[in-house]
Amino acid sequence: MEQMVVRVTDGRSAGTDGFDAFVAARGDALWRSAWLLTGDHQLAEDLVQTALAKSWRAWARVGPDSFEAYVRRVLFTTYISWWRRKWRGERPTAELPEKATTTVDTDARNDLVAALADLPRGQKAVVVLRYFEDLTEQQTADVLGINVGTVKSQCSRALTALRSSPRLQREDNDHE
Amino acid sequence: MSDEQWLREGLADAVPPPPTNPDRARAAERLARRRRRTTSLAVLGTVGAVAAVAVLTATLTSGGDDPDRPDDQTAADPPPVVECPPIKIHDGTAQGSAIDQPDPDAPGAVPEGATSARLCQGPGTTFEVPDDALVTDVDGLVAEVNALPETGEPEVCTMDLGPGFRIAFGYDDGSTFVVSGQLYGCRTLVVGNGYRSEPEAAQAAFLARLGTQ
Repeated sequence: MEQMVVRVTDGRSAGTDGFDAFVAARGDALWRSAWLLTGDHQLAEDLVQTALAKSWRAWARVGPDSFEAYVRRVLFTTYISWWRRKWRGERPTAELPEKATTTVDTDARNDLVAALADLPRGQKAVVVLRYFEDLTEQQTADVLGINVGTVKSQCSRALTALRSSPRLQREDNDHE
Repeated sequence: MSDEQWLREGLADAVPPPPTNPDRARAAERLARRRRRTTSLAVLGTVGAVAAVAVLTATLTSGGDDPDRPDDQTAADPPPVVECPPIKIHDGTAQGSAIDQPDPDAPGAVPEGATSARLCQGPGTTFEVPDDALVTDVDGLVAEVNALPETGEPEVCTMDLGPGFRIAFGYDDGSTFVVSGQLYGCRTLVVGNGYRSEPEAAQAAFLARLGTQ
């Protein structure tokens, strides 16, 4: 059956449509990383939307192939450099997600995530990029604007801290 | 199972399902438009009349507040991790330039909102600059630099030569602000339109934060 595709532009540009499609396709993936960084549903949504807002204007220049890497870099650097000042109380999002965000995050925060939350922001960002996003050391360095040696040392420190975390030791003991 | 594999699997298992949010793109767009207006107002309120003239001039020359302009320079700037300004080095001595002198049109303090900072070579003898930019607690560094005592133009300077440094601050809109310190001679830190004392404190503040980053 022949299908007729009706494109509803609503006065919006093709670039904006592309941005919308990107957000629809990759927004949840960005949210997952943001949740690991923040440990909170709404803060994760705020972080994603702030990163998207900062990146929105660059859509036409960066293009669809490179835009995810661009947004990811904005998301992580925003988290690292602005967290302390911007995210303690201010919620820049006017629109709340459809789903209620009163989920008790502690239920989802297993001991590993709780231990992750104890890491310094820089180490936490490296861990999420390396072990959740599966980026290489070089790609992680590029995202965070640091050198590969720093990525290695941050990873090493983070793994040492996680290994020695009482939360994870307790988990190990529970399974013994 | 290796630590790395354990971590990969643990993180993948820990993440909850994302909430449904079909309005995410629209909300980001609205936030982008609000951010631009809010940022302009914050700059106006912070740096006063001189900066206000600069902001208005920039706004006028960029064609106003139409975020859809394809030639919008704010849109063209990549997420900034600031780079060091160039500096010429002859016979082991870095040469100063206008960037190391007070600029009467600049504010007298480092503007708030910096998202990255780099310790760079300044005029004087060379030293090993760190490879990494500072991206954590940059606002704390800004506050510490701005808390250094303001001084007038130096009147008494020794004739020695030593290392000079710059700290380049980067902002979300791609702009930069550079302070220039001399750890010799007049021992001043040039910040915007004036001088401050204790340049070594500014350098130490940067290095301390970089060490814990």
